[in-house]
Amino acid sequence: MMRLPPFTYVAPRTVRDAVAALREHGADAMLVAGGTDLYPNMKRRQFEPKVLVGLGGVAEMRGVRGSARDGFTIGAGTTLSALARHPDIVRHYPGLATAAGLVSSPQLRNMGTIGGNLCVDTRCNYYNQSFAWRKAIGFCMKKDGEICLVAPGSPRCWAVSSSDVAPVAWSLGAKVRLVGPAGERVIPAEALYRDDGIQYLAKQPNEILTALLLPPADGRRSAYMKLRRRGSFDFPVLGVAVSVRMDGETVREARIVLGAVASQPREATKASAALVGRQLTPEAIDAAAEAAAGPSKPLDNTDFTHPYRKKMTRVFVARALRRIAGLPVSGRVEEELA
Amino acid sequence: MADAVATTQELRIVGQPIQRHDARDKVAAAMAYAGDFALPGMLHAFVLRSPYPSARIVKLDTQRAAAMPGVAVVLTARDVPKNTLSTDVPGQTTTVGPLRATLHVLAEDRVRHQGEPVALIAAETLEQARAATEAVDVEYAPLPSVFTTADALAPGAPAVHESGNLLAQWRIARGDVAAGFARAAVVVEGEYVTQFVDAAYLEPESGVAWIDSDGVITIRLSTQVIEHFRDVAEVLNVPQNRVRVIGTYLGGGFGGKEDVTVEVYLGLLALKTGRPVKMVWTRQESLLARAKRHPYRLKYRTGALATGEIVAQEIDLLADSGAYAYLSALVLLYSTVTAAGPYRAPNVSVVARVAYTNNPPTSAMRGFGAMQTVFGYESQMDRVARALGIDPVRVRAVNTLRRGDSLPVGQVMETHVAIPELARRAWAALGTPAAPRAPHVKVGRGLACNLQPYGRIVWLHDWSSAWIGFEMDGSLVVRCGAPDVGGGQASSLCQIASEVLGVPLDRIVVHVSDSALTPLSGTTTASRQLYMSGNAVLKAARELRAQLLTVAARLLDTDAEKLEMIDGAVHAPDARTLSLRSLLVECARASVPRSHLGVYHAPAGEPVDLNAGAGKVFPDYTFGAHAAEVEVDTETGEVRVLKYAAAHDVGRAINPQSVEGQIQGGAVQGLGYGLMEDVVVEDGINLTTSFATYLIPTAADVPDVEAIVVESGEGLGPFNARGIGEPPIGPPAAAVANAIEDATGARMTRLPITAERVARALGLVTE
Amino acid sequence: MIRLTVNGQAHELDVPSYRTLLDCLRYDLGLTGSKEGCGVGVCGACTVLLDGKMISSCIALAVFADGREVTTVEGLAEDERLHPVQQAFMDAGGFQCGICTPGQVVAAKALLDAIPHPSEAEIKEWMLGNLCRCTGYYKIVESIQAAAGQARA
Repeated sequence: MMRLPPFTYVAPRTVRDAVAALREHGADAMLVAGGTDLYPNMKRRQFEPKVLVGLGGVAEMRGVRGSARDGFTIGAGTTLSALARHPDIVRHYPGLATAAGLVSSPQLRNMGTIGGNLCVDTRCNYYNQSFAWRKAIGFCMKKDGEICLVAPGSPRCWAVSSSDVAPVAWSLGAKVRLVGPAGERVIPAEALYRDDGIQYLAKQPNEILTALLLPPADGRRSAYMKLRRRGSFDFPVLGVAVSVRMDGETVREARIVLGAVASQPREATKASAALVGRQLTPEAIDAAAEAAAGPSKPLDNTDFTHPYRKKMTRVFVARALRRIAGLPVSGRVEEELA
Repeated sequence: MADAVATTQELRIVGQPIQRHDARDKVAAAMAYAGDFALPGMLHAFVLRSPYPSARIVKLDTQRAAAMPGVAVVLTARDVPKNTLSTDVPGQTTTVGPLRATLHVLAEDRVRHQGEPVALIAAETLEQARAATEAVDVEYAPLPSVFTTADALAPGAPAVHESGNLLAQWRIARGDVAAGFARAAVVVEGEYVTQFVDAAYLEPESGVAWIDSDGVITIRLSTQVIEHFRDVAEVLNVPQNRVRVIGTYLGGGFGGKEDVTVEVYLGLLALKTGRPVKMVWTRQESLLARAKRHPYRLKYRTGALATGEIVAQEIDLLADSGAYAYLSALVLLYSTVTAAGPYRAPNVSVVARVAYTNNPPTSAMRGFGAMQTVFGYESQMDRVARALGIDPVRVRAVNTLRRGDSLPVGQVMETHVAIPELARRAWAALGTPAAPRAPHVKVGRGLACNLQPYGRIVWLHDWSSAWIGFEMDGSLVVRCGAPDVGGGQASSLCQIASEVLGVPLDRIVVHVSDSALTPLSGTTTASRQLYMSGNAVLKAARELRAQLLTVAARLLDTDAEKLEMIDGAVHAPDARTLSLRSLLVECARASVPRSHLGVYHAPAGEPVDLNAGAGKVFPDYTFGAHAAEVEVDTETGEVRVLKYAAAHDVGRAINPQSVEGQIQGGAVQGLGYGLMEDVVVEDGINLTTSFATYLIPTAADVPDVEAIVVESGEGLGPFNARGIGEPPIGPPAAAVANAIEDATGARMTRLPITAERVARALGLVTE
Repeated sequence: MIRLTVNGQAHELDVPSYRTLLDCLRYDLGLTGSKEGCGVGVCGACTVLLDGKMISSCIALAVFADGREVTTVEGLAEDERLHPVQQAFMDAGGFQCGICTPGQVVAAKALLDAIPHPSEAEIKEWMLGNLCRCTGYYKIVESIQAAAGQARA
C-alpha cells in the first residue's frame, strides 16, 4: 500500500496562528487544506514536507459572505461542493459554480477547497508518477532533477496549470487575499499566477491565500466548460472560462481565459477584445472563438495531443459564448453544466 | 455428455433469481477479503521491482537493507530453492508440451520488463519494509531492447529470450482462398489495432501466509486458481502436500488473478522466516506488474458475394506477449480459432503470431484472445454489409454457422448457434432511433456478434470434483474447490444441489476454494466454473440422491424412481412423506453413506493439427449479439453511447439475476475497452500506473445495458447452461465502432476510440 | 491523542499525524469494511461519512477527523437490521465481487440523506466517484432506486 511519508501536523485555529506556524517552520512546512491534491502527491513523494500546517480548523476561512451588489468574499477554506451549490454563486457567478462542481468527484469536492483548487499543483505526465518511476525514467526539474522531459533543452518547466476555478476567477476579475508575516495584501487573481511549471504561484511561501473576492455581479454573465477523457475524477485537459458584462444587447466587457493550456491560465485577449462593442451574434462568437485558439499553445504532456486541444479551444469558446448569449448549444460538455 | 443431461421435471430452484448466500456479508462488509485478514506477529512484505525494461543486473547487494530496523529477511534469486516458475495452463494436471512457459521467481542476471521482481523484503511494519526495499543496492546496465512486435520480428532484432522473439504461431488454411476472392462481388480490407488493457479489479493482489500447526505452509489469498499450491511447492522444493492454498472470495479477477500473484512470494517468506507474512500490492504495483490483455494488430481481407455471403477470408494476427510467455500461446490459439467469428468460412487462411518484446507481459484477461478478434471480424462484417447495402442483421444471418457446420479449424458446431435470433432481438431492443440533439450531433447504430469458448481446450482433459454431504439434522454441506470471483459461482452450486436434493437454500452451506479441504475443481477462468463444477455438483447430488432414495424406497415400500425430494422431505406418489432426518438415521443404521464425491470429466480429445484443419479444440461456445446506439459530436469527436442491448444464449440461466449481472458488467468492461481504457507504454515504461491515469468507466460514462437472456436449452453445463463469464466483453468495441460509422461515415480501426481519434477520423484535426 | 466518534462510539487514539483515516479505521480500530482500491482518492472504495458528508478516507488524515464523527459501512445497520440501502443492494443484486460495495452503500446512503427521491441522472451524478468493475452500474442504480422507493413507503 502506498503510504504517506512521516511529517508533523499542525492545526492552527486562526489565520494568525497559521502564519506564525509557517514562519516558525520555514521551508520545512507546507500548507494543506482538503489535501486531495497534496496527499496523493506526497504518497508519490512529489512533496516531502516535515511539517504540514492544516487549515481545516481555521473557521474564519470558511463561508461565503456578501451580496450581488457589493460582490462576495469566499473564504478559501470553503469546500468546492458548498461553493458549487451556493444559491448566490449559482445565480450570479454560474461559471464559478460550474467549475467548482466539475472538480474530480463528489467525495473530493466535499474535501477540497476553493483555496486549494486555486493553488493546485501543476501537472505533467512525466511528473505525476511514483518516485520509483521517476527515478527510472530520470527525474525532471520540477522535482529532484535538472531537465525537462517534455521539452528537453528547455530552461524552464512546462507543467500545466490544472485548476478548474483559476481561469474562472481570472475571467471574473476576482481578487485574492494573501496574508503573511508582513500583513495582508489583495491582488488580482491573474497576478497570483506565473508562467512557470515549478514556481507557478506569485504567492510567497510564507503567505496564506485566505479568500477569493468576487466583484459585484452587475449584469455579469459567465460560463465554464471542461474537456477531459471521462465524465468524472479527471483534471481538465482544457478549461474555458468566459465572463461578459452587457450594456443592453452590446458587450461592454469580456474576458475569455483558458485553463490547462500552459503553466498558468491564459487570457485570450484578442478574442475578448473582438467581442467588446458588438452583439453576441453567432458571427461575432465564431470570430472570437477563432481568435481564442491563438494563445492556446498546449504541449503534449497531458491527455490528448496539442493540435486536438487547440482545435477544441475554438469549439469550447464558441459553445461557452453561445451559452452566455442564450443561443442553442448541445453536446456532452454542456450536459456537465446541468 | 451423459453427465450433463437435463432433468425433464419442472425446476423449482434453478432458474430462480435467488438471493446469493454471500449477499448479506457483502453489503454489510462482513466479508473478510484477502487484504482484510491479519495474524498476530505478522510481517509485512514488499517486492523490489526493476525500474527498467531491459537491463543486466550488475550489482545486487542486500546487506544494508537487511540490517535496517525491523527487517526480518531480504531475499534474492540466490535464496529461492528452485527459481523457476511454470506459467503454462494453471490448474491443469496434464502438460501441454510445446507450450511450456516458465519465468524466474526473482530476476537472476537480467530483467526484461519494467516491474520485473528482483528482491523480496519482509519487516515488522509496512513502513520498515518499504524503507528497506529502497535500501537494496541494485545497479543495472541497460541492454538493447525492443518495444514493438514489428521490430521484434525484424531480422537482427535484440533477442528478448535466447529462443528468439517469435514465441508462437498458429496457421489454419481451408478451402481455396484465391478462388473465393475471384468469386467475390466485393472485397473489404481492414487493419485493426488494439491496446494493452488492465483487469483493474478494485481489490489489488493480496494475501497472508503462515506455517500452520500441522507444518503445512498455508497461504490465504485472492486467486482464481488454488491449484497454484503445486507451483509454490515446486519453487519451495517441498512436497505438494506441504502447501495449502485457501482462496478467499475475490474482489474481482477477470483473468488477472489466473497466473501466480503473491502466493509464491508469501510461501518463500513464510518458509524463510517461520512467521506469518502479509503482502498487499499497491494499485500502482498492480497496474505496473500484472500481466495485461494482449495488444493485437489484426489484418483482414474479406470477400463476399452480392448476397452478403462471405466466400473468402485472409486473416493475419500479430500479438504482443511482452517480456514473458505466460499464457500467450494459448491466448493466440483462442484468437486463431475464433478469427472468422461465428460465421461460415469455406475458404479461409489464418496466420497468427505472438512475439516477445520488452513491454509489460501479457496473459489471461476476460475474453482471452477471442475478444480482440471480434473487433476485427465484426468491423469487417459491417463493412461488407455497408458495401453491399445489406442490413446488418441480415448479413450476419446469411453467414451464421448452423449446427453441423464447422469452424475454420474444423470443429463441428454441435449445439444451436443462435446468432440470427440474438442479433434480431438486440437490434430490436434499441427501439425508436433518438433524434440528434443538434445539427452537429450525429446518431448511429451498430451491431456486433461473437462466439466465445467456454471450458478448456479439450486436450487438457479438464475435470472438476465436488463433495456433497448431509449432516444428521438434514442440513447440507457442499465442498468444491472452485474460487468465487464475484459472479456467484458458489451460490450457483448451492442452487443446483438444492434443486436435486430438495434442500432449501437456507439449509445449505458451501465451502469453496481450499486446496486442502475442498475437492479440486480447477480454475475459475475460461468461463468454465459453472460448466465444470456445476456438472460436478449435479453429478454428486444425483448420485447421492439415488443412494438415499434406495433406502427411502425401502422404508416407504415403493420404487425409488417414484420418489421426490422437496423441501427437506421425501415424497411418495401417495402423499406419504419421510423426513430427511428419519431417512438419514436409517442410512446411518444401514451403513449407506450420506455423502458423495462427484467427479466430472469434460469431453476430451487429442491435440488437433491446425494445419490439417480438422479437429475439436473447445467443448462448446457461447454466442452473443450486442447493439449500440451512439451519438457523435462532430465538432469534438466525443462519443456517447445512448442505448445498449446485449443478448446471449446462455443455454439455461441458473440464476437470472447473476446472468444479467454478468452481461451488464461484461458489456460495460467491453465499452471501457472500446472507448477509454489504455495502458500507455512508452519505450517499455508504463505511463498509467494509477487510477487517475488508467481510466475505467464510471456510472456517468455508461448507458443502461439491457441484458437479453436467451435460453436455448442447449449447452454442456448443468441443466444445459453455457458459460457466460467472458462472452459479454467481446462485442462492445465493434458494436460502437460500427455505430460510429453509421452515424458519421468514419471507420474507427484503433482502440480505444477516443474523442481525439474520432476527431481525426472526421478530419477535424489534421496535424 | 485524537478523539474520534466512529459509528456512534467514542475513541481516543494515539496515532501518528501521517496516519490516514482509512488506515486508522482498518488497522487501529479493526474496521476493515472500508477498502483501499487506489490509494489516491479516485475509486471510492474507501468512502466514509465525516460529519455526514462523504469523503475518501484514503487521502484524509486521521488527525483531520479529530473531534468529528465518522460513519463507516459497519455503522449503517442497526443491530441485525440492515440499512434500507443495504437491503436494496441485496435484493436487487447491486453487487458482484463486493469489494466496492461498502463504498457504494455509504455513498448511496449519503445520497438518500441529501436527496430522498433522486432522479436517475442525480443518482449517476452522485455515484460517479465510486468505481465498480463488475456490475456495469446497472443494478447499483436499480438498488438505489429501490431503496428510495422503500424510504418513500
